[in-house]
Amino acid sequence: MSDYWLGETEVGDTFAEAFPMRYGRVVITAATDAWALEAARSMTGFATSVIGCKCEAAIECRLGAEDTPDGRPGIAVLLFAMDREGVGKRILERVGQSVMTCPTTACFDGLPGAERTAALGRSLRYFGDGFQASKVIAGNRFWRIPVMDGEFLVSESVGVGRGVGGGNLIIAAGGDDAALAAAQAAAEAMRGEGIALPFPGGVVRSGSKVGARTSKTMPASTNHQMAPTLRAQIPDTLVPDGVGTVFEIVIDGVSEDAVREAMRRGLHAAAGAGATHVTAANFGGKLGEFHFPLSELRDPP
Amino acid sequence: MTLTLTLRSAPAVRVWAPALVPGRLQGLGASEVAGLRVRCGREAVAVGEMFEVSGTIDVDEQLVLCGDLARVDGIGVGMDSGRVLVEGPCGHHLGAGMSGGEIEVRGIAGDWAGAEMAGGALRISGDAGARLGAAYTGARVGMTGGEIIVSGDAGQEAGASMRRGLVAVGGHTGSGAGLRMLAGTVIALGGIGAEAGIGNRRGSLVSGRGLDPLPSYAFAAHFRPPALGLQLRRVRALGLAVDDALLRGTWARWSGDRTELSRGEILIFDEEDGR
Repeated sequence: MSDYWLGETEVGDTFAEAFPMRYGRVVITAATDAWALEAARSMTGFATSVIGCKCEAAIECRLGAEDTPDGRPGIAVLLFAMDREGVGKRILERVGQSVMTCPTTACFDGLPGAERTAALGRSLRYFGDGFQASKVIAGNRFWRIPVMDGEFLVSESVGVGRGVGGGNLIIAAGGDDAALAAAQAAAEAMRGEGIALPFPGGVVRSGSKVGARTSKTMPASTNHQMAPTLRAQIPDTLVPDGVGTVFEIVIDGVSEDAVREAMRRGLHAAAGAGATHVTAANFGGKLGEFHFPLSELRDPP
Repeated sequence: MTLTLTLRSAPAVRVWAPALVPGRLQGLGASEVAGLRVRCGREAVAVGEMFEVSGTIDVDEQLVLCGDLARVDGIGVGMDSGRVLVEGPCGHHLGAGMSGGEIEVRGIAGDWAGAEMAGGALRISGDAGARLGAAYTGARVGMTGGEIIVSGDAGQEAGASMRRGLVAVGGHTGSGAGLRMLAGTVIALGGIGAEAGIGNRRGSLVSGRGLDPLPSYAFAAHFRPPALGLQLRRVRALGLAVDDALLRGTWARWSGDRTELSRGEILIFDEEDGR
């Protein structure tokens, strides 16, 4: 399959390569939507790349009061790590530091019924210093931790599921305004149920490659082949003619289908918003078990 | 298929009928069910003499009991699966010791309903008698799991010695609710009765109306208990009418019983204009 065109956008004959990850989903509620958002933003901060942050996390969606366990406005957050233990540790740290500390919040398991779980309230309860109490409601245990505005209510554990991390699109255009508009449109289209875009605004400008030319210890370094300013300096540039700016969108999802469909939405949104080129990053197909050929995303969502 | 037992006439003496649970009746034909014995006063009487029997029951199917069963005790005792529907009033010890399944009573229930229950669901559309979900005399632990929903009122000492689970009453409870309660939750939307929570260790008593707690309870704070919000939503889902005011309002927390651990609580709804 060769390159194809979506309107004025050339789509590369390549594929995105992704990896199995584990994920957890928590639902944060608060007295107002604004406080729930504060907690969710704090919890998902500094969680862009599992390499540097030990996890990848993002707001999945806002939830209306009718869709949350306690009838208050809420935010669903997805957090990805390489294994169940990693998911459990990172969720525990982040709920403890970013959600429990935020006024009026409560935190619930967003994957009820999952086969595998990780401790949350079961560990966090010790912050209650012996004054914590639990309630079993409809078969689920919750911990009540006394805090200065009343009680922090948190689920005993969170479900851990098998997800996919590292799906991606690389979006390019002639100028920075056009490329950024296309990337933003793609990110907006890709967000939805089961999808986390862990980078700021969903968009990455510092795309990376595995390893480094100048170091044997660095796990990653700049994707110099996609840096437009190096086009004339390196023999193996991958920046197409006429392209002045390139952005990447990294996609983690709860399933292969979720990632594929998010990529499809993003590809078509980017094309519709002025991207001149869309391609994807991979490692030759040798490292990740999930491959998403762009040729399979030609049909609109 | 449903197995239906219709009482021929109200018995003159009390009947003890623990055999009337789905698990013991599964796979039996109507004539076999009619041949089972229940205790009627001092005599063992065939089920067929007291009830008209029709249908059969299989796994996950329903046993229906019809008639004035106010003197029929022990319905659903020890039940672990299936569903029982009682069309009319029933006697004492309804669902006592049950560990699973569901019993619905469209009428009133006698004393000791759900006593020492460990799981499952018990729904009573009318009033319930004394010692709802409680421990039997001499026992240390009452209800250890499951959910009891009473649309009407409950008698004295509801939830006595309960250790886990939920008792929710749409009306009010009689005096002594939560007596020597170990843990668990008793909710009375119409108000908890007097002398509540004597010897309460870790249990939660929830009163939808004003209440003067015993002197062994101390006022802590007015707040919105997040766990109670979940419980009230659960109670609403199970069929009780929970006013929105209870969900959005604040509650006064009283800690006690200070003669015990002082880790129990009585939550009293702050009337919206009366705080």
